[in-house]
Amino acid sequence: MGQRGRGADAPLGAQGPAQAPDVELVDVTKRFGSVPAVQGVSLRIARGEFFALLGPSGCGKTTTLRLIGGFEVPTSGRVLLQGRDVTDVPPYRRATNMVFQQLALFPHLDVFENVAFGLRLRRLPPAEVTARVRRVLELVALPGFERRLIHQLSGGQQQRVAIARALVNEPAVLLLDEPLGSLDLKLRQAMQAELKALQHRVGTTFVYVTHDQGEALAMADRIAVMADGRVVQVGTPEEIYTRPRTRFVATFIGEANLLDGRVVGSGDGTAAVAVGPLRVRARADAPLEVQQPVTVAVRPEHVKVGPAALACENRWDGVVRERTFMGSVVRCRVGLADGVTVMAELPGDAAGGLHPGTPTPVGWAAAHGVVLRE
Amino acid sequence: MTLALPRPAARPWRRWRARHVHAALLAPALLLTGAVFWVAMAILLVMSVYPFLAAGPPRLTLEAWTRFLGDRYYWSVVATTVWLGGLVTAGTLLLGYPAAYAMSKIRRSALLLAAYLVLFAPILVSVVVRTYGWLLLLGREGAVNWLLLRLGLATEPVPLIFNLRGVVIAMVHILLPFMVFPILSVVGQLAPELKEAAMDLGATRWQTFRRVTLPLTLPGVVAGAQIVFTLTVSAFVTPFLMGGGKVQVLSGLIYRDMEAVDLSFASVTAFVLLALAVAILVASNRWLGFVYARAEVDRA
Repeated sequence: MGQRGRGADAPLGAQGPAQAPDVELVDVTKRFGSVPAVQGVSLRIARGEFFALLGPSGCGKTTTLRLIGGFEVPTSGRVLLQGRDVTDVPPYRRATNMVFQQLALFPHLDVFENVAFGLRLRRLPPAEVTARVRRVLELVALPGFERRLIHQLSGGQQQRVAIARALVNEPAVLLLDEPLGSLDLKLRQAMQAELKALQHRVGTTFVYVTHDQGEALAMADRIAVMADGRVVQVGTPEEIYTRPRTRFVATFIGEANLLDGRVVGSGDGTAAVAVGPLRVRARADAPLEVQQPVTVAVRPEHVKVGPAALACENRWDGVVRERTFMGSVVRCRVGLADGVTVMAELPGDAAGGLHPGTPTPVGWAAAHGVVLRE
Repeated sequence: MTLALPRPAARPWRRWRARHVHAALLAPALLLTGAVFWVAMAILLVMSVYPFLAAGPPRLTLEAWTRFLGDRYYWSVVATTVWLGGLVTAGTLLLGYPAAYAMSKIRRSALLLAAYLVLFAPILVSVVVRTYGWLLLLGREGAVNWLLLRLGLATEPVPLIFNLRGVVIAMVHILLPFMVFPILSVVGQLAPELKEAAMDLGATRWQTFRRVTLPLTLPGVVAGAQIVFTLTVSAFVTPFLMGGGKVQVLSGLIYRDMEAVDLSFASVTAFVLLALAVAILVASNRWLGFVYARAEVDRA
């Protein structure tokens, strides 16, 4: 099994040839019949990165993961692992291991044999198999569960076995397909933190597919946002959140007020946009033409209401239309002028005295508005 | 805003009914097997030790039992029966497993229907008719020998009927659906991602089959093998017609002794046949348990 590209004795997260990214997709397209699932995707995922593929269902993120794992062969384009072209290499010869959405644990084997499955295929000496299974079960906090059958475990425990079964092979890249999707919220949050800590400890490159933007923001070093089979934007969680490139990214990751208008002036990284009768100043990363139709995106938590709005570059008089108590925050729908309304999210103590009908100043800093061209 | 709904009065007979409904559902089947099988077996047992004689009151004797168990000829018949059962089971398994596996992969409903028809339609035709069909096909002047001679694979007609070979060929065909059905039902339930998981962990196609697909479908294989084996060892028509009197199996012995009105000996043979079937069922179930248990031991 030497062709799997990893030595039997290599420590977890061993260093391979320097510099080459662990995963590289070059203009990869995958069609099922005439239906395109992935179109022209190019990605470079660095060694040790926690990389999330984020998007709604049907956006091609799982197909992209399966292309990396070798379960699908691209219609065109190339897949490279650690600098080696593996486009036509079957899954059993790739230095990747996958944690499946339905976990796919072997029901006829116990925890030990599930985890030992890959090691046995590589014909490692029994003593080493035992030692490595023990070690990885400790890593996922399941020591003493060796003899349990899969159906005797809880959902969270099965999750850990699935991760252990993949990690024990010391893959160059661990592929995770919505592995927490079947867990309830509390357990999911606990497992998120655990997975993140685990990735930090073993240093393996993780490629993590999820449709849950909160999960991607909380766990990933970098995120690729996908829609309709294409990668829309790649960046750190902060970049994606604070500088979305399209309307889709702005609304899929977090919430955003979208204000359609036309450019009236730009320069120096900012632009002025006419939204109805309002003139909005916002950040613009790319040069814009006057009269170009654009959208300004503002996060609800950046919209200030009341005296806090007085210091903002963008400031108008508005009227509170709706007020919703959300627990730690209060959300207000505020009418500006000519039917333009924005949603504001305020800390509970800043929302005292705001009721439907209350006139109030509203505004946000120019740096918090982002000009979107598509 | 909660409304206190009045709880329906607990009706004791409802609870009683809920608890005993399964007994009512089971009763007809139990009564039928109880009356037909167990009572009949009891009568057979009595008949095997109290031969009905022309004159005098019946008296207890183990003569029929000692005659059967003490005679080499009858043991050779037992051996032939087991051998036939084994060959037919192996034959149906070799043909049936790949067929069931392929059928579980068919997605086009028209193709699937065609496969079902080809495999299972023979069940709709009488065993006698099918056996005569095979006699015509496999006879000296039959289509198979004609083909073998034309292709130069044989220089003279191969004896394919009135011997064990013919019985096996016909019975594999007749019993194939009973092997395919149980295997198909377990193969169809196999989650496809289990095979992907095995391949992901480094298993080639063959290793995936050997370590995942086969163990998970083994219960279906064992169930099919049990059905085919018990049907083979107890079959009468096909061994009788295809064997042409040259292949003696236990069911043939029973027929012979019924004709000869040697009912106590026929009863003994029937019991040996039953013991054989039970032994194979128990042994194969044990074996299945052993295979799963060994997977637990096979490690450092």
